[in-house]
Amino acid sequence: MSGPRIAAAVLQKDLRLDLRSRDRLGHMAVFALLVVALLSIFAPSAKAERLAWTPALLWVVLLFTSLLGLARAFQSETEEGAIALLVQAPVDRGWIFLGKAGATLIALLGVELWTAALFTVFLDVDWSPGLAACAGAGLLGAVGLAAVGTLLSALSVGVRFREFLLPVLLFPLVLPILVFASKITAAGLGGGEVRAQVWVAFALYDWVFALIGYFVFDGVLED
Amino acid sequence: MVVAAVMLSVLATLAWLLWLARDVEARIGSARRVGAVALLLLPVWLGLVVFYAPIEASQGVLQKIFYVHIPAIIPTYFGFTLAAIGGVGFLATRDERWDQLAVSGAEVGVVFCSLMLLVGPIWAKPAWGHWWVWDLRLTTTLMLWFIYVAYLFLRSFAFGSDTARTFAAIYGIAGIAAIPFVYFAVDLAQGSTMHPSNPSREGLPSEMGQTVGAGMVAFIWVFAWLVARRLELAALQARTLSPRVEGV
Amino acid sequence: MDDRIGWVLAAYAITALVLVGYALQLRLARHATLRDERRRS
Repeated sequence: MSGPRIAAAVLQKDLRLDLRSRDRLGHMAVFALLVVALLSIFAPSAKAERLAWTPALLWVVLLFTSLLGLARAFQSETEEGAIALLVQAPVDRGWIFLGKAGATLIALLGVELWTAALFTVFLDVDWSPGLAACAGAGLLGAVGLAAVGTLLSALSVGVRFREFLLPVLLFPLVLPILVFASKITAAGLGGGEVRAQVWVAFALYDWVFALIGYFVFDGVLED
Repeated sequence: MVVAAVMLSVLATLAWLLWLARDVEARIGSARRVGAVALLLLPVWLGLVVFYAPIEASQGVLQKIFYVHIPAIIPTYFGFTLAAIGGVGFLATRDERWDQLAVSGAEVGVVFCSLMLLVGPIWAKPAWGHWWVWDLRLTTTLMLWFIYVAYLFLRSFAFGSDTARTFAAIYGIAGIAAIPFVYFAVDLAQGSTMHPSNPSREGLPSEMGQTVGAGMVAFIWVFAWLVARRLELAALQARTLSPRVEGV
Repeated sequence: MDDRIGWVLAAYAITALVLVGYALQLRLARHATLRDERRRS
């Protein structure tokens, strides 16, 4: 079986699992709802202040919600002992990483849309002025989180204190994502401009970590 | 000339550490000489700080913290570079010795990084009125610290084993790949920086530059000695956990 | 003398403490490991 086919197979399997059990997606959705609802209660009521905080808030919410999902990224494999099967696949194992990350990416994109809607409902955020920019930030952000998150999730499987370790490993590495995405979102909402370099750095970051994940996944699977 | 001394020290100690890591227990005796060099350099540096470096006009004596804060930068990055080199070496060869180099570099790097984060605020409070400021260099240093502390946590939670070493190596590589992006991101987020601008651009009086240089050189040798001792510990621990017959 | 000398001394003292402390910790760990090894053999 060729590489891309394996990736597609892994992706499909994960997506089907997600949609059928609704565990992961459901938990992420409810979590996001809870956090946004809570925030809207004690968020500043003045519109200008709220607008100033929205981009940062949005990405913090997305970060914690993704964390929930990432912790489970390899759950089905560990439970069913499917890792042994994956390892035997006669193909460059990096494709497995891409399949897994792809499934996470799709889940995250869904979460982003959901959260954006929540922000509109609870915090009165109007996305239309900067729709393209926010969508771009959302896409690049999801790709980055999926790439780094899937890799780190794999690195921490079976490790002690995983609920502590995964965030501790993840947060410093994804700081650039948070900064780039929130800056672009802020510019989009406020009608400002973001230097082209930011987009380039953002895309580069995603690319670098996707590559790292692809190339090192061989080593990761030997566990 | 100062720059040359610093670079020479880095290259010399790097070469020595790479040589040492290949057979730590047999070669650790050489650490004594390195330690001696460090012990000689430290009082020279201190002497320069107290007697040679001039008192700066605007900040007075306080500015002398400079000479202990800046030199800590090189061991910090040196340590994390060693961790990356060791990680790549381990992934390529599966030889435990690379991994020992990695953990030693990371740990001592964290020590110096922590030092920077402790001394920085001691300067900031009297100088700017705040213990902490979210400026570019301080923030990046803090992020660096988080990354490598996470690295050490990962190692300790994963039970010494080839898996743990592989995972740590990967994280070490991911960590160092992230650093330029973190730097750029923090810069973007800040917009401005309160940190004193880079000395070399400011045209520092030569006495100051030389004193900083002396500090850097001294710290590099201290760093090397500490890494060597940490390497020794790693090798010893490896030996106790898996007693080996003679010969590697 | 500038009364902020206290801060300067604190900075250098902390540096010394941290470095010496770490070196000591390494030495203690080394002893412990050797002791463990002797016990096992």
